[in-house]
Amino acid sequence: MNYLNQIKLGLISITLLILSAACDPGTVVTHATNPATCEGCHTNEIALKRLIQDEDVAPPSGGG
Amino acid sequence: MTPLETWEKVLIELKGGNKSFKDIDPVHGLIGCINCHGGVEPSSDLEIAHSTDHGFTRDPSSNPEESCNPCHNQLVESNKNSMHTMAWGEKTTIAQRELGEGNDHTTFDECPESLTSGFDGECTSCHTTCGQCHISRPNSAHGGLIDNHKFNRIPDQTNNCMACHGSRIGTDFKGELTGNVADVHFLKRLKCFDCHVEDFHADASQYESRYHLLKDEEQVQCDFCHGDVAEANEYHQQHWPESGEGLSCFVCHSQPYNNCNTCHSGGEWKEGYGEVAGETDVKSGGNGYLEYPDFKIGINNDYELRNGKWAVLRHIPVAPDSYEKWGHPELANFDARPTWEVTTPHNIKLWTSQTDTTNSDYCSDNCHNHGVRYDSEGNYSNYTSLDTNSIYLLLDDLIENEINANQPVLGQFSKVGCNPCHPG
Repeated sequence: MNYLNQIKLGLISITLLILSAACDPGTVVTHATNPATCEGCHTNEIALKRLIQDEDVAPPSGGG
Repeated sequence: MTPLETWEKVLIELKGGNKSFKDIDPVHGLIGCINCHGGVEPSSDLEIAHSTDHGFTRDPSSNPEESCNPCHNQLVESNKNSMHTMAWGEKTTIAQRELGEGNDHTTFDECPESLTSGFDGECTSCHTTCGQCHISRPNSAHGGLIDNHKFNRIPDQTNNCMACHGSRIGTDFKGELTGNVADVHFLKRLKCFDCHVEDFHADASQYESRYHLLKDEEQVQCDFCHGDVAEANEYHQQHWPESGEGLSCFVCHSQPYNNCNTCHSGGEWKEGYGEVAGETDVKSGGNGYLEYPDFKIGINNDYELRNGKWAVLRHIPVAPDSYEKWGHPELANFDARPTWEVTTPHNIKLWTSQTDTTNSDYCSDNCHNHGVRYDSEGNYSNYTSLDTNSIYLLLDDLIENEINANQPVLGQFSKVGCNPCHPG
């Protein structure tokens, strides 16, 4: 019985690993406080103002 | 629309209890920035983080097959041929003015290469990506996140719809022209999508313009909501629009609206084409582009599409040499379409200068001074109390090179009196 349970447990673990790999959306970095991450910089108004130069653009035409 | 500051365009503001983008958009927040935008993360170097060598793209949805699939694959597939993506209506107008009447978007590719490549290079650049409706302002308004990069299912009326449809629709709807008030539907807080029920993502490749997207019975008409007033007064009884008969509702219930009298190609509103016969209230917009408020009634030249014999006309920004900067000096069949096109101004009001008869001797004074009128003793005289010529599109309103093009919408006026319509 113990032997069968161990096999079941092993199979479940492998299944979970496969599922987790299949569903992995890729690199997810959401450290809003880390300035080296996308989110860390783009949620930091002061850093953005310092880093990004203003563009010289004409007013939009307003379209149709 | 005032452009956002550059830093403001890319700021994701964490307010309240939001600790990360995942709190703002729990679904898309799971994907991770670089999985859509490319680039390098983590990186303390701005250039490397946004390096195109590492696949960085500002607007991933410009390649929706890669970025928006597989979750939205059906929408991505149909949207490839949608009206907003392909601008089929614009293609129809160019095809007709170049190749002649009877052509439409399906024959656009038969136009000279100067036109087709100019169109692909310029017009399609603002007709538009998924993100420019659902995440940020469109390119034509210089972009910028709208709602902290939240993917909004319904585009924002001000920052999306009116960013592109601003100088006419937005201006009219909000009542921004001097002397106008906001459209009654705006005041009642109706949104664009309350009337525009067409499927914006639909494959529209078989339709020559956006007006053809819906079947006749599905086209939103005023009488869907206002059908119970067809007999409400003498004006409605006399003028209610039917196919080829009566007046479009807009003839009576529109205020003056913006018209455009120059043309755009070559990346800017073209300068120097500003002659507007009889117009004095012409204001100059950006880069020499000219727009002016006006109100003109003319013939509805497409009875199958819209009810009413008479409709409201708007001057559209086109001229024979509109595409000169694309290397196309003159449109070969410029006369194939009117330059004053039937329009549906978004500035509806119950009492307009047409419907308000205060201080008038006769109910028809505001519109019918081309006829004669009868007094109570049966004597008739010409209309002289008000000069209402200006509300009709007349030959004198046309620039010389557009006279032929507008013959289908010019009304024929004669001094017929009231009896033909009001016998007895």
